[in-house]
Amino acid sequence: MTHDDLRADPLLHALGALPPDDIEPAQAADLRSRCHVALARRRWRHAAAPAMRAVPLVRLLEPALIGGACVAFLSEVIRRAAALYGF
Amino acid sequence: MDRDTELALVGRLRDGDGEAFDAVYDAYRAPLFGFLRRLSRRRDVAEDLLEETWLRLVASARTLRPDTRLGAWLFTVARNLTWSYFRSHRMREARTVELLGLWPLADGGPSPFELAAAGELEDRLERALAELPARHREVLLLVAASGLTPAEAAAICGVRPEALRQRLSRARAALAEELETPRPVATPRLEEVPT
Repeated sequence: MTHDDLRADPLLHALGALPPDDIEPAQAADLRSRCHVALARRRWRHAAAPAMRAVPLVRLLEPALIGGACVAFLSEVIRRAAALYGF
Repeated sequence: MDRDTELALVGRLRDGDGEAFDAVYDAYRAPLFGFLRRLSRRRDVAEDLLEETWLRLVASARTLRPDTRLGAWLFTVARNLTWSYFRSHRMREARTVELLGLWPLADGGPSPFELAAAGELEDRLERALAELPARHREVLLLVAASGLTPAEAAAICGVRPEALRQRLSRARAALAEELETPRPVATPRLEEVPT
């Protein structure tokens, strides 16, 4: 069945002429607004993505900074203790 | 919708543009619903599948290819969702065809007067279409009722264009045969009248 056959076929033409069908206007509006919300949420997530990507770097540095402070504190304690005993 | 407009809409949809979504929604909502309702043969199911189709478009908007054909994309999703529904509900064709005798009037359908007024041919066509196997309905709905080209319909159904043409030809013959088959006139439901 070629494309021309399709156009000329009265039965297929009648199928194409069936009355359109749609959901209720209130349902259509509700679905549209839910899609808008989902679209906005995705837009926001995409916009926030660079900031989200920066978070792991802070999390990586945080233990290193805390560890460094601990080492500095302990070495100061040891230095003072050693000074007390005259080393 | 011409191709340039469609490409522009795809670009805007990828940016999450709500107005672009509205334009696509207004252009395709009714054709998609008609397709889903006639393929699934249930209005409530078609409503759910329609909602899922649009939510999937929103979820995939950012990753759409710039040259996406929106109609084909939407009908592919709608068609795949319908087949998933058929599979998950194990709707066997033979069984549903038996049940279809109850269908037209089961959901408070139109009265005999309304049927006559609305046009007998349309009604017979709808009934005949509903009697066909889903594979036949699908191809007829895509090509004849949704206005897609056979090549687009083939891509949507995941078959080669030649296979689709053969399927269409068989579906058309089955529809013609179904139209010629005499059907008993549906009896309107009796309703209890409060006294």
